[in-house]
Amino acid sequence: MPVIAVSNPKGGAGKSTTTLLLATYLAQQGASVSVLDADPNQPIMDWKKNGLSKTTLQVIGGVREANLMETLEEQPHQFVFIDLEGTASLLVSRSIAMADFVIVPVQASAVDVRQAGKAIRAVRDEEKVAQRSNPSRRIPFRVLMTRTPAPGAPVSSVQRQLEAEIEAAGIPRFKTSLAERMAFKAVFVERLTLAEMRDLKVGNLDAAYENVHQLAEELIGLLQDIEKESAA
Amino acid sequence: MNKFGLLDDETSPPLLTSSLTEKIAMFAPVKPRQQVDIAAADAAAAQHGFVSREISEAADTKLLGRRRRTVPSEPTRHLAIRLSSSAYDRFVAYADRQKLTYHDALARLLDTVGG
Repeated sequence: MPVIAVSNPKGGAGKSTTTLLLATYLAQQGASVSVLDADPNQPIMDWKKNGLSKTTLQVIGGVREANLMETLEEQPHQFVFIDLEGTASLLVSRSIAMADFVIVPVQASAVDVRQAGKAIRAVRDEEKVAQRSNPSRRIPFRVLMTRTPAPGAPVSSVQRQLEAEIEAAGIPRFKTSLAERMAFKAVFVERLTLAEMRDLKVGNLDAAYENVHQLAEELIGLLQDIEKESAA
Repeated sequence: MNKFGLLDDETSPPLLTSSLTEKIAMFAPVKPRQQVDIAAADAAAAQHGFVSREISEAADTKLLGRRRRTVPSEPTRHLAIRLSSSAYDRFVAYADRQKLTYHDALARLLDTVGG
């Protein structure tokens, strides 16, 4: 049961979008998935509660510092995502400490990347703390570039510089990025999954679907490697 | 013709590929979680500015009414301790819930663990 925390202390980096797209996609592929909505604004809880989606995804709201561990232990699902708030809080750092994998979404902006650096340093420090009692404990993470131009569209020099700096710093990142797409915004507006929006005109749905498919494939590959490593 | 050795030999076994659904099925639903030392995790995170953003239960003490103070039947001594913010919040919230003074709460906790 991999626990996947989605974290960047900067708001608007694409945490909830990333969480919802991946979680609903995996659920659609037959996985049992839950999302712990640890964002005080409860965007994913709102999506589930007030929408008409027939997804099997379970959403648990009201996650707090005090009940995080218990809530995690109660999850009988194959995949558990934690959608975190856009602040540097104990709820965020504890979620990171309990996660098997951390996704750090960043937009191509200096502010996003600097704040992401805070999350990355927290991941590394939490890993060191956990290794005191369990030397084999790892908290792997990947930076995910979000709201990038769609394939074929020009890439800004800011994004190129940031990508180069991330690479130079040896920070691991997803090969796939999440493009800026109308369909991703529409998921929250319509409160449906991508697959459920087939009959709506929400931009290039096929391209959006393919984008999420690639990201999910990459994530599952990484999680498989982590499982193999921890089993060895 | 396999001139440069790049083409697969017809007799070679097919590549093992599995669909995303098959890969997903390999993940077990329940796995025991590793215990996390919350105090140590909080201390590490505090260095990067991660602090509690929640209103602690301890902040609501005014709503809980007056605590009954017990008069100790033996001489008392003073103990001043510094503890992490989260441990402080937990201790004060516990004392408030039980409507105990701090020294009574500490004694109750010691009694509970047999200390």
